Amino acid sequence: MAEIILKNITKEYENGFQAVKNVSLDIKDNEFVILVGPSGCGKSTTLRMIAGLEDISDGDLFIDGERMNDVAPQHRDIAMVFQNYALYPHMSVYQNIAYSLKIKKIPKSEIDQRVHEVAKSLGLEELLDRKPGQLSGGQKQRVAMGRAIIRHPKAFLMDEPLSNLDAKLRGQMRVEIADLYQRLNTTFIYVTHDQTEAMTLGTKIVVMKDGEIQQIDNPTNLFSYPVNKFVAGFIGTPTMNFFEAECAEENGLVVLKTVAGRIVMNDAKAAKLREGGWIGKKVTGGIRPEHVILSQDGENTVFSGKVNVFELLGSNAIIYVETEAGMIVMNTSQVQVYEHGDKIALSVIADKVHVFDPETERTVTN
Amino acid sequence: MSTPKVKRKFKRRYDKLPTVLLFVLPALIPLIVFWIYPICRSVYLSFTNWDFISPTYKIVGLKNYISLFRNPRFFEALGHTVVFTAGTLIPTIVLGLVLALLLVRNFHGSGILKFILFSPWITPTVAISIVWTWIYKTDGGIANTILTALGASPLKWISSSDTAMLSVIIVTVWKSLGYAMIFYLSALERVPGELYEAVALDGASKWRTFFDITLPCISPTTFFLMIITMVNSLQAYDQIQVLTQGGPSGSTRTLLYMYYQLGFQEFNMGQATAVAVVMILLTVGLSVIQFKASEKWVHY
Amino acid sequence: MNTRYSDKSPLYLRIPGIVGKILILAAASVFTAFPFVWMVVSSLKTKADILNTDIFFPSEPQWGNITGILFNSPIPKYILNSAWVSLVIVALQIVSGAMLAYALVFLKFRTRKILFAIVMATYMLPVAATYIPSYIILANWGILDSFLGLIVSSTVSIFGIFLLRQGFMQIPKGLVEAARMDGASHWRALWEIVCPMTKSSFITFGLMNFIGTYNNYMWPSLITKTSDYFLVSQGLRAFFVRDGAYGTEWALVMAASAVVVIPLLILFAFTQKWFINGIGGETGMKG
Repeated sequence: MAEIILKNITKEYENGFQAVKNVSLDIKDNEFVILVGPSGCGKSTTLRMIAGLEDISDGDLFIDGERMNDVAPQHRDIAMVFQNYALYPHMSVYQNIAYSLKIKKIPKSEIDQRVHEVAKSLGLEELLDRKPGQLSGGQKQRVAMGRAIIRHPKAFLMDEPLSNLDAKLRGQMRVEIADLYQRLNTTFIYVTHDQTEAMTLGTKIVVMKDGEIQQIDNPTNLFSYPVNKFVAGFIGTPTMNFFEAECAEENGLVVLKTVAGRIVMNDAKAAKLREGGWIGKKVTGGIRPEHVILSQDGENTVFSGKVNVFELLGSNAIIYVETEAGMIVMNTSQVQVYEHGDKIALSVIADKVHVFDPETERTVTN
Repeated sequence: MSTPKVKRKFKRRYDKLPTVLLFVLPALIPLIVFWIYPICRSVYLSFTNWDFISPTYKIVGLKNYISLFRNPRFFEALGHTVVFTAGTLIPTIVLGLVLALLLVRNFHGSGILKFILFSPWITPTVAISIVWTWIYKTDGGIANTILTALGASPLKWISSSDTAMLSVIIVTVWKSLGYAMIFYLSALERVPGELYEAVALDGASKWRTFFDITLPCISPTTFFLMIITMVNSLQAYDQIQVLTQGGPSGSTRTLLYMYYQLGFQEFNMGQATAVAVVMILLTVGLSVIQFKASEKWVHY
Repeated sequence: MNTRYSDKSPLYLRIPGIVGKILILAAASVFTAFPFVWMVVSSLKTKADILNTDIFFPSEPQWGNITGILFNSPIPKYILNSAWVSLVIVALQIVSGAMLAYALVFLKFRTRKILFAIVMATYMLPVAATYIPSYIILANWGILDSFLGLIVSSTVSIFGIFLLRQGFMQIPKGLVEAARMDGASHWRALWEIVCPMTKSSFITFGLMNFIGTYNNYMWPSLITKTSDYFLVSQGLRAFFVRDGAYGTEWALVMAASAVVVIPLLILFAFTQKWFINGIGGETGMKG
């Protein structure tokens, strides 16, 4: 229900450290935006600035067209779910959920009705009289969400809401949050360090590193067209393989020469490489494990080496291969059992190769 | 580049100023008016010859301090302060620790004992000092009755300059013993049990365990109690006022009592505030020394 | 198992230790309790009994001494003065202390560290050093000999600020932030979230400062001269020295002391755990 615009937002601490650098971001009405990145990348700080829990050092924050920099958090009409749930330990579940309405001086009967509504939708009806200390992690998580939902806020902020749950519960809650988003039809801003969570939940993902936005895109594009080596490596498991290569032109074809072989670039990539003047220069190549294939006839071998670790995951297998170009990981569905030390020759799906500038780490083939 | 930065800093500092002020001022204003300003004012007054009654006064420089340092009464009072402080601090801490060690394991009746031992601390010093005056009475006082019954010769207690200080110290230790004990009790409870088990496996004796484990573990509490007891002793007034009024012949006049007499009986504000400044310096000095020394023997 | 060395030794070896322990505790308790007991038994004695050191208990309890103090002396008035003045002072100290402690822990501002250093420094300084200028301030304001003067000069407790700050620091910051997101102002967050969670610190603060103010002697005796405004310590002392009661009316003086002390002992009996847990645990340091 709200449009949130961040314009050149910077957070600088008193010691001069910049946690967030010049971040600009447009969040449209009813969008589900995910801020993702490694710890210390500034994603939580960004969220907390939107909430009003951190001062904005520089730049402007607009919510529904109104500049909000100096508005106290309680006047922003935004709800937040905290990593540690932050439930009030001295209040019952009912009181926790009702607290924001009580502050707004909403009549008791309406509060009662709304609390029961929310509790029903989250399956908390039986627990309303309990204190937070008597709840399990998943239940606390639901109460924390209930406390946010009941307010019908302009936007939901979630700061690593699932990180304190065990893996199984996390998957389940992920589905519930997605479901909640569909039902509530309001703006969600969700912070996580877990790229899987980001990829499965988000329609718009903001990848951050060192206080800067790296890329804003949907999951498919992030996966297929990362703008730089960091995003390429951060998104996807197992992570992308990187290798050194030299860009060359042979018989009118643009190729990447690796230690053991060569990869022929398709027309689009070839054109970009020519355009960028990369012919004859060193580049960093990148290939996702699922795009590494077995070399059938030895002709198109790109890497060769010995199997280090073989992990069978049922329908697919992950093979770690020690090659001349370093460790190359392959994720294959052609399950064939390997032993440690088995010789193996690898090729790649050439269309799926990413090429990065070794200096700036930017993708040069997008 | 520089203008927006200045503007930004300005804004950041004053954004939430009303809230911060609202929360800070209710305590800060009284703190300034009745603590910080008076301390500074005392220092200033100690360089004047103000007598409280006349509206004008002069700056006299160090004269108050010089005459103070030439006054044997001052050194007497300083000496009494040192004797009183040491005389209350050491027994309070040692006996407080002994009692805590004996009471740290709960047994039938230990709650009652803790109640009794701590109760002097919550009663008005004036009331109990009046009771002690009656106990100390030279003839007909129960203290001498007990001494005689034990075959010792009776003392003159607060009526003699030889025993007056001892009498005041006894009352002070009586009052603060339970306080020290309570602090030690909670410190002892927090000594990790595994330490005792480990040292027992090493075959240490009881005494070694006490000196090698218990004492170091509770050293922060000992340090805290030393500071607190010292500050309290430097400021002791109630019991002196009721028991001896600084007498007989000045034998229980501490710096604080001298300050009281100079300021509120003789209205020699210059001299009185000079004594106050000496007391502040003494407190600061002793605290600094204790803090420095504590680095050697306090283990956090 | 060799670990419980102290419990392992045979009983006959532990007997001297146990006896020693009992003796020390008994001696300490008798020493501590004796003045109270002596006060009570003396308060019930006649003049003749008082002077006769051979008898411990009164020959016949003189309840009239006590009722005389209760109904025909200014002591009850002093007790009431002390009680209500202390209540007002402690209420103000709790509000001002809680707000400052909240600011020190949960608000972010530039001078926070300096402010804490100032508070910390004043904690150690001798209060008496402030008395002369504070006295002059109250004189200038014309509230020297009044309840107002007593109250106004004691609206802040540095000890209390420490105690509450210590308690507040145990609260996860996220809880206050959650309250802010729920729409609560800092004021509401303090009293509806932080205060209920640190109830024991507040109770300890209230009790300790109530007792301290109730019993306070030096400062009130400097600024109040009219017996209408006496707190209990000053009133008791005045009662003790008036008209040469000193040395003659010991039974009455003891009865007055008993009337003052016994309610406090009863209060303490009911609130013991807040004192013992509260002060012991709040040394401001680990240990």
